[in-house]
Amino acid sequence: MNEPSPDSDPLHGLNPEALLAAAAIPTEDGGAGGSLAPGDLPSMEEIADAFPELEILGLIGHGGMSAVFRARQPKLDRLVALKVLPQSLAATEGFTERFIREGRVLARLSHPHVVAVHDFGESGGFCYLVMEHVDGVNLRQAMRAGRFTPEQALAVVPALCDALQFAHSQGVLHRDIKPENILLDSKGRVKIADFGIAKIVGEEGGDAALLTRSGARLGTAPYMAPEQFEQPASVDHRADIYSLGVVLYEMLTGELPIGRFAPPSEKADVGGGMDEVVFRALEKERSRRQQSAEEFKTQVAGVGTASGSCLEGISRPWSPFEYRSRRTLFGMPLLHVVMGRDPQTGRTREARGFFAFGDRARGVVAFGGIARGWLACGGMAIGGVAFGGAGIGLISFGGLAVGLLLALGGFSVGGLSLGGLAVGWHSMGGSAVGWHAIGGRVFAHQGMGRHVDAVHVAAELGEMPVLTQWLASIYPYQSVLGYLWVPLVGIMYLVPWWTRRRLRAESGGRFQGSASSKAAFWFVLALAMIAAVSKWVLPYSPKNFLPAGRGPSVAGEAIDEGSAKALGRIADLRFLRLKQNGTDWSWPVWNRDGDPADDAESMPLIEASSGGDVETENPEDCWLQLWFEHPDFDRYSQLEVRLVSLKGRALENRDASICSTAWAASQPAPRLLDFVASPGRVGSLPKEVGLQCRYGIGPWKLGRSVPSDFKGQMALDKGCHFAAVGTGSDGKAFVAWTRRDDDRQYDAIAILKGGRRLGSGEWSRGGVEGEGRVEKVSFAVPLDEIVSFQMRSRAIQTVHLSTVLPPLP
Amino acid sequence: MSARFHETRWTLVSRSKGDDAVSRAALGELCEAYYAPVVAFLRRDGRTEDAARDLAHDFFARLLAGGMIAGADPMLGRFRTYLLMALKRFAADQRERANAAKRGGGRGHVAIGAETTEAGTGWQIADERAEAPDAAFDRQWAITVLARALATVEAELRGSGKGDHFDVLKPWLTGDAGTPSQAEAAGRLGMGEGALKVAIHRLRKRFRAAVKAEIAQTVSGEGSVEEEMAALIAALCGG
Repeated sequence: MNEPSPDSDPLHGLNPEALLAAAAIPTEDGGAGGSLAPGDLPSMEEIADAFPELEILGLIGHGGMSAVFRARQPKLDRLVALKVLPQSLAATEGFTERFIREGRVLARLSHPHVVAVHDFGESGGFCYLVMEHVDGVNLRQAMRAGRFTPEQALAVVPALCDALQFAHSQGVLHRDIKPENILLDSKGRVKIADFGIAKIVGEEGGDAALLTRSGARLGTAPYMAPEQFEQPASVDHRADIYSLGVVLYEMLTGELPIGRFAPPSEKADVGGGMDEVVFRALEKERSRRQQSAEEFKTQVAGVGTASGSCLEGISRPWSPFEYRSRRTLFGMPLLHVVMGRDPQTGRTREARGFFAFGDRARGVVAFGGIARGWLACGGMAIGGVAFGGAGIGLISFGGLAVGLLLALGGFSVGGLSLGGLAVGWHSMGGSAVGWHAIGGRVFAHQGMGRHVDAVHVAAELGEMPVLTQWLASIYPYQSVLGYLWVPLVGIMYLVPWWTRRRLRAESGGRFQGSASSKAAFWFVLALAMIAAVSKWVLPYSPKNFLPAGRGPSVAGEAIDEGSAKALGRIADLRFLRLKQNGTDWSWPVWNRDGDPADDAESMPLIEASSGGDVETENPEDCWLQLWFEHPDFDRYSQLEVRLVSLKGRALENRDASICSTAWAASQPAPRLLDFVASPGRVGSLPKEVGLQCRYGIGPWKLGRSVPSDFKGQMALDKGCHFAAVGTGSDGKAFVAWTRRDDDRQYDAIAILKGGRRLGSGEWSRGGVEGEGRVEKVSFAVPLDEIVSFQMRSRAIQTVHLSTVLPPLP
Repeated sequence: MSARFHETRWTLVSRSKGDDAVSRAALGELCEAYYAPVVAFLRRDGRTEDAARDLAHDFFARLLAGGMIAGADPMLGRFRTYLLMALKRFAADQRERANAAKRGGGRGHVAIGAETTEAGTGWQIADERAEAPDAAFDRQWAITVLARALATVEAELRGSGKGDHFDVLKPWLTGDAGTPSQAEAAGRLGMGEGALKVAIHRLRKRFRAAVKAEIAQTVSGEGSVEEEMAALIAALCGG
């Protein structure tokens, strides 16, 4: 051999890269110098002898380390491929064990795009695998038969990626992805063969005898990732991605990516985006490659759509198009926009990305005709937060809104629902149906509104549960939704518009000005609509539904549940008058300012609310009648007033033992309660007195339930003990209790047979204030009609007032 | 080939550390064969063609005189890496000596003249694509391997009177693209297309074997042939 002269061309004008690549590529028989030598190739007879249960039909091929036979399993009447490893391998120590271990893993790998391993083992000195027989050609043969169009090449990729992704998820690496191992069957289906075989065979690399003929490894060098040479032990699934990149490059360009290879877009009819995807897969540093086969697939799909004929459609404003960002998030494209039907299949396409826009869209944030996502916006929106013509979600807004937590819409159904027709646990709307409901027409357990059909009717918002109140409070802000729609509508139009523009830019086309003016038109139209909606919605408040004045209509049992209209307000001293023992009450009645209250409104109220007369023995004793008013006085409200001096001391010169407690059970206007007490005697009347008022108002708190036949002791509350149930002399049932607690008012409801509830009628008490009292309420039915008594209590308010005494008549 | 596998030139050299006559002869053969990469390295390292050839000569002279370069252990790995390591040490050594000889110390002198606009003289903007000396060495090495394998195949064919086969069929060594039609080639060689295909196949096979054999001569460790092949592919790809 002569010293090569630098002046002559020792390579005979041949491209060194191509030459070296050619030296590294096997031909179809895998026949590099080191392949399975013909002498090692088992004869058909040998194989037939070794596998008596198979009909050996012929040799399919033989490669570096194995021979593959077409065979038939007579029992199952199916064709199989029998892969036989050389006997020398089986004879290697430890190989058989490892082969069986790996074989089990491979046999479990069941995927439509993976050639299935039916059986494996050792027979007649051969390690073998029985595999699915694929009637077709391998990718190498297919490429040789004719170069792939980019569409054909890209059509193969998703199946390859699916298969790899599946295998990788099972912890299996292929390690030897190359066109020879990619099979195309007669129906055009893609299948990857020889999963993991490279590992089984390759680990024998330490054996010198094997190495000399390991042509298989040598031959596939161009497809192997750099780390497969450098650190074979650390190889992971990203090596398969590198190999996949090489295969894709070869399919697109017909060449191997060796040397300073040209970008695919220069050699094939693909967009520039494909260069990026392929170059990324071929990164030497595996951390810079696609990190999963899924990601590779997504990226290829993303740029694949931007190529060739697909772009032509973009020039027409509403024509179908597809855009997929190359960037990914959680394994899906960051942005995927699909408009119109698939021009090839004619089927509706679905956008699937972190941000998805399309006729059908699915993603974390989805916009579209049918949108599904954590934030979904569209004609039909399903998701965590759903905006749409029909919205279904945890929180949903729309014409028809169904929300697990909150629904706002024309017709809304939800835990909390707000809308024209609202159905929900808490609901508010023109018509509201719910456990707690507010609205113009209400069907509810507890309701409030103009026409209410409810067990409990509230007169004031304060009586409703907090959530219902909150619902009412956000009602005026429904228009905010309108403002929310502005950006949403904007996004919904602008993003597809922008992507269309981008696609056009990528394809070299020019952006049309008319599109932007259209965008502006729609944007302004949306704004105008929102403005109109908010103009109508903003002034609309819950007050419009609420009854003016008093008197909600009542259905069901008339049990006063106690109201909370103005619990913070103290009772108002409305009227008063004075008289002497032995005379009748006479007019005028005075108001607190010292004017006679003889107007047409006050007189009937006073007439109706005047209680009984009081008389003592001393003719000089005088009596003061007082009327108090409070919005929350109800038929169970009790009023006690102590007259004291202005300094709060007991008044002198009077019969202090006489005072009364007023209660409103029989009064038709329960908001006005009267009370009679003695301020002193004629001649020694104070000019002005202090009034210590105590009254029970507000919602009741339910306490314990006492069976009607209960005979024992029972603490009903902190300061209240059950005393007795029984039938009074009038034949009516009563329940009695003792109490030391002066801060609360107690009452009972009778639960009748059949579940009806009955409020208490007469109330009486005995004992000394502050030292223990006995209280008793009776009911309008005999005891045997009652199942149990439901105790309840509410707070007693104490207020201090003062008043100038009116003159004696 | 397999029979000689364990007796490659490089294994001979590395085992004996170049001490005996046989191994020194083997080293001589290797050095002779891989002269070109050494020159390529030195050229890329900033020397003129003449200076590079001169230095390469000195380098091989020292290497073959048994003065193995300290710090380069032939027991490790391949001839290529060994040679490169030795060459780097040698080049650094040479530069140090040359600089020390100048009064100006470590600084070179640049003439500021009127003729600096001429191509090839004066300042040049750094070409980022220019190869590092190592890469140039590896690349040239790969080309040398291929050239030697081609020469082997050519010699064999010519020896058996099939020189025209080589001349006509060699374009097919690099694949199918850009080659003349097979029919034309078959006509020139006076054979049928089927026979031509067989001939091409044989030529490819022979060439592959020759490349592998060539590589095998420069590696010692078992399992290194394909690793070296991969490394050469990487070198040709430009890293």
